[in-house]
Amino acid sequence: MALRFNYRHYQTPHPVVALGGQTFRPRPVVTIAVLGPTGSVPKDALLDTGSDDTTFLENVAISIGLDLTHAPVRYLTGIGPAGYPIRYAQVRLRLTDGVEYRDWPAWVGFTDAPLPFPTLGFAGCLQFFSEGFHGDRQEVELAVNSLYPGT
Amino acid sequence: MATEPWTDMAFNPVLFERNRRLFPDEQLAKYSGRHIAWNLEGTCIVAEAATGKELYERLKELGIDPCLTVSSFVPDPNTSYI
Repeated sequence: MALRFNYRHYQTPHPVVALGGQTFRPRPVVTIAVLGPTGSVPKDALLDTGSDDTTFLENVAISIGLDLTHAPVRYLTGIGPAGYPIRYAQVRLRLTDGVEYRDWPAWVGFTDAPLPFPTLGFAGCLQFFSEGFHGDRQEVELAVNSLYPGT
Repeated sequence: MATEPWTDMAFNPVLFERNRRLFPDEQLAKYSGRHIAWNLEGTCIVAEAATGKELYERLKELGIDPCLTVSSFVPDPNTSYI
């Protein structure tokens, strides 16, 4: 079994030069639920093999009742301004394609960095799956691997 | 079992995805470059803002529980995201 998601298509008013003139950008965006001590909150997030961590905005932590006061802190960097603090805590993540339902514990980072999308990066997410990013059919497959700690 | 739907969340991801796909692209295009909050059913957009942080504040101002929305981002079509 594997979770299967079609890439989302984001329409563009002008042809995308780098994609042969098609008028949309496909992106592997999925809706994931983040669960904490007092509740859960669903978010659209980008499956991102280039991201070290799984990251959400700090207000997600507030929404699910996580206190980050004593959370371990590191710093984010990438394209753009660097140095935003990122605070780590353990949550549960839930992801489904309507056929397979996955729920696992994960260490994720919370930040106030102006992220376009939350990222589902290696730590907390992709480390637990064998992934296939199929550019031809614009579909991503996530099959749980031997490290997967959830149900 | 990994095939049994969750029953302890208000959010139904299958329903949300089904409805979100039916949302007209031209309406979504109005939010290009903006952060948006869908209702849990994926049938309408209940708030929008320039950043995710501002979206959270906007939801609070409107008296909407952020846990009862699905926040997302509508990429600017003239921007390449790396």
